[in-house]
Amino acid sequence: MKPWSAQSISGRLTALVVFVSGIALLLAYVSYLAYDYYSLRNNLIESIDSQANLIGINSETALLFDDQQAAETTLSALRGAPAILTAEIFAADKTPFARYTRKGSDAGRLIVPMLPPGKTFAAWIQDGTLLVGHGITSNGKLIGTVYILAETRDVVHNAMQFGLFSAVILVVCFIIALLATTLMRGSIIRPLENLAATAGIISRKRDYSVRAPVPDRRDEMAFLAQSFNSSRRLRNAPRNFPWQTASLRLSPTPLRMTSGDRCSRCRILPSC
Amino acid sequence: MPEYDVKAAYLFNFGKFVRFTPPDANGDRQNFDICIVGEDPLGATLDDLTQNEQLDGKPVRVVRLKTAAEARQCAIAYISASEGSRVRNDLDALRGQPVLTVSDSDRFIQNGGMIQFVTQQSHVRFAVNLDAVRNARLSLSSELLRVAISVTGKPPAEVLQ
Repeated sequence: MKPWSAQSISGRLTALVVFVSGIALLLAYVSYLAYDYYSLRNNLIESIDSQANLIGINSETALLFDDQQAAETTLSALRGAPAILTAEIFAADKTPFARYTRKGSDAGRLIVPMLPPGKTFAAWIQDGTLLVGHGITSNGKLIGTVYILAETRDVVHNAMQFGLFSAVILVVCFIIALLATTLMRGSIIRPLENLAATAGIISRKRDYSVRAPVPDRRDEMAFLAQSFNSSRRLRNAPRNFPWQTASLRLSPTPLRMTSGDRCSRCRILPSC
Repeated sequence: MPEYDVKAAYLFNFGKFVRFTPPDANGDRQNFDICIVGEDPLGATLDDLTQNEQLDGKPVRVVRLKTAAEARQCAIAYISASEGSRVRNDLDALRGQPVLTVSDSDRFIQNGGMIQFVTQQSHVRFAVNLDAVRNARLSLSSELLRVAISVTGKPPAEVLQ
């Protein structure tokens, strides 16, 4: 019997395992990928917000004492963060106060203050960029807002790296599952194949003395092999036991397992 | 924004960045008084700004005084330009007291004042005399000093961070 034939039990068993493990691995992969992207995105928002918070704290006096140069000096510290494209501080009346633009970035990108009233933090993701707005307070009062526009390219890049790495692990796991299935299916399929081979010999050679090997364990396969061998003994029995063949041939109703059959099954199966 | 409205806002904001050392130097005060010595050029702006406000855990009051000697219980004393030649005497009256002295009079810093308003390119800025601040056992936040147009004198041992 060909082990990979789609019609064979072996082939169908392999296909089943491949399908189930494939679906499970794929679901796990997609879930982890989504979780990773979500985590990376949240980490970026938290990171940008903490920078906006620092800028806000250090711009308090600049806003209170109308010192734009001091605010611009504070903003220039963002040079160390290459993901940040633009940052801008707005006064409480939403007038632009100080601005920083990364060298080489699109300086024309204007930030429109849109922090909802009563809120001191908000984040928006759009067109591959993240905009974080953070309120600047003094004595509990809002005196201005700092907005930071950053690229989300790193998030996508890191998510892709994670996705690629995970995909390699997924393929390896899939191959291992396939190999394990190939190795282990023998213990299930071999007794069945033996039984089928025995039946084939009997069918071809009319040799009812052939016995199917009974697996050395207490499961359905052992029961099936033993029952098969028992039926062979019945078939070889002398003709002076007509009740046996008559009962098999003339039974008007489909054969059902009798209490005696169940007892013989119970001798083999522990679950009985 | 009119110049004196800006100065009124600054006067109130100075209160956020001044600390009294030792801490009980301001402890006897029931209120955080911002006193105006001489004619009041600030008008109602300062009253509006300080309404229902607290500084150093105390309610802020605006008090108008005729002489500097009355300002010894104030946290901040704004010495009006109307004091003219009396500025030096006013500063002598407050010498050694834990009172932050502020004025827009010329040579206020040189006369021993702590903070002087300076108008530069239509912007109101301020200069700080740290020697006078230290002698009055006060501390100014480094954040405030950062936005000062000039800082003279030796900083106190503990400049507030």
